[in-house]
Amino acid sequence: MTTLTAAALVATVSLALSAVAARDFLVSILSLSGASVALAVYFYLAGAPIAAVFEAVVAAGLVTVLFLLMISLTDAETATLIEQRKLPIVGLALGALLGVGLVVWGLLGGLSTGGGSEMELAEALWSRRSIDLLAVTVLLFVGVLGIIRLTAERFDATDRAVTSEGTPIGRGRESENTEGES
Amino acid sequence: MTETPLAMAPLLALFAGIFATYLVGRIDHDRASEASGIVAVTAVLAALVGTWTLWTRSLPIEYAIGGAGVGVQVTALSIFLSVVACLLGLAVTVYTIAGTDDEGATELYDPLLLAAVAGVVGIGFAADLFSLYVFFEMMAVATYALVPFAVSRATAVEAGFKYVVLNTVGSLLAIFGVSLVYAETGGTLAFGPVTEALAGTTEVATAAVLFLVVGFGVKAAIVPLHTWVPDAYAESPASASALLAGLATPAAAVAIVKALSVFPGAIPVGLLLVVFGAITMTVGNFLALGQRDLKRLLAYSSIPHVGYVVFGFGIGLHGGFGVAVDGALFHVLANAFMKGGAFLAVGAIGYRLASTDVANPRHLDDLAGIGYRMPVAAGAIAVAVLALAGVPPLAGFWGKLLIVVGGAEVSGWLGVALALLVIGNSFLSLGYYLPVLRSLFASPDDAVGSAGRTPTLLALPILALTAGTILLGIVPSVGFDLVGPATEVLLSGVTP
Repeated sequence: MTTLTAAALVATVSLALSAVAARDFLVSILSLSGASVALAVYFYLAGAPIAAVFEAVVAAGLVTVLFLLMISLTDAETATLIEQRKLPIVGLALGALLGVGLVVWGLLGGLSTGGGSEMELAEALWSRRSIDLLAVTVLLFVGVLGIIRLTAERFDATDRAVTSEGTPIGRGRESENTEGES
Repeated sequence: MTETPLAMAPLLALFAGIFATYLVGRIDHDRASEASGIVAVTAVLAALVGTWTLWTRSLPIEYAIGGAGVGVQVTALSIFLSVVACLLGLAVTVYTIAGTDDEGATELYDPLLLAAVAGVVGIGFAADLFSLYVFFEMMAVATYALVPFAVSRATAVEAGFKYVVLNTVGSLLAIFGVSLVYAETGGTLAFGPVTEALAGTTEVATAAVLFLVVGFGVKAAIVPLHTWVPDAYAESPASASALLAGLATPAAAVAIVKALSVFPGAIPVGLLLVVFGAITMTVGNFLALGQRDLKRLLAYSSIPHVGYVVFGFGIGLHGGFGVAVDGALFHVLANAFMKGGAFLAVGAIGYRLASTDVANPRHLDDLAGIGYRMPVAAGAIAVAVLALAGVPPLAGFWGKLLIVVGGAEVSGWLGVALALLVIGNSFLSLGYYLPVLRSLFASPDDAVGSAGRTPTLLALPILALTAGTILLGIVPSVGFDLVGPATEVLLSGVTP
């Protein structure tokens, strides 16, 4: 068990570092998902099965899908790569993540086995962590608003090199002034 | 210890405001900015009144919905954070009534601003480590959408993506740290009991400390976790930048210290923060040197100010020097006025210059002489940068002074070195703040000369924050009344 715990810890940190360091968005996202899965495994080993399930399903699954969605909306080049060449890899990765989630769920025997019914779980959450439930409700609403905004429209990938004021970036100031006058 | 539902008032006012601003923004779409903005201002005012009422009561106050389980815990630290969040939140929501930042999506923008404010208030009100994390996430998720709010602009989306990825990794590490504490204490996370449960543990607790510092440290922009800052602050709408730089980032530093205050004295938490703080203030100042884009300059200059705060907390926790923690908390308060005012003023200038022939309304060369056309906005920036540099008698002076005094209290040559480090960094910052003043009040060219005055609705919050910057400098006791009790709470381990 100790070896497994240590492996989960090492995997979490390594994959998290990879998520930050990777230059390829896709590698970064999949690394982050992997870190979430490793963290979920650690949660389970640490005796927090419900946290493990939430981590696997929400952080590794839902968040990954959101990241991929955002890439498809914003980065045309990467989105094309995902669609054309890397789609099988993404599918396999997401399938593997789902598999891990199902295995964790299976190990738990569902939330109802040994932990009381779903109703008891809900009652326990409400009576023990009411403020967090309230906060998470607001958090989810805020998250939905954020997603609505981020998916509101596509930008034209050809205007990548334009600053907030509409002036080109990555060029000298003389050329900026020239464009401003024209 | 008293229990009253009033303890929930500030949070509930802001939560209600989040839903109400969305609904009002949707229903009354023709005048959405005004209607939604007024609702947001009302919500923040209600939260401020609730906070004031709690402040007049005997602290600490606890309350849990249903009377059992984990609820909120109102201490002097909670009041401090709530006041800072609501005051800056009030200025920002008044600013948004003009509708210059919301890109036509008021029904989304105002709720997100309120959620960021509510997250900071919640960090102060959190009664255990998990609640602290949840409210931290509320603040983070709201800003995830605020940074790339101009979704049609590629640079904003790119900044938002970098911000989201880095901060999500930070959040994962933070919850990992919380889970380590949970496992080590056998399920105890509440401030107070967790301190006792962690007594005698060092190895796992040390690992948890590192995860919490790195996790929350990403949002706090501690070097080397600061790389998202310049893009995120520069590309956000002005009011979101003000909220990020003036509130969210310093609040993350407070969250770190609140979380770390539960760990036993055997772990050198203070020393760790001193090292991170020293590196952050020094590297941040060097990064800001030479910047000619005013918004990016202010963004980079936010990094050393987090460094001062973390450094002050570190000295306070390391040697039990309350004066350094006083300085750090005072700087958090002052930073809200200084950075908030500066970013809002830059936004107002950008708004006015957008309709002129000025090539780049953020570049110092193109802003030459804007002080003569927009004296309110440029004057606010001038006051803010002088205060940020620590020039007396403005707000930024007192926090730095107390941190220097705290550093000097450390015995021997190390104390002198720590004090000199802060003083040296303050002088270093003049290297990038003074060119700002020179540009703002240089001779204006024709393009800048055609700019209009600062719009009244934008000028009001800018003037209010500038007045706060001056008032806190001249009458610092106003701030110390708030800061002193909060320091006692932090140094006693956030226990009632």
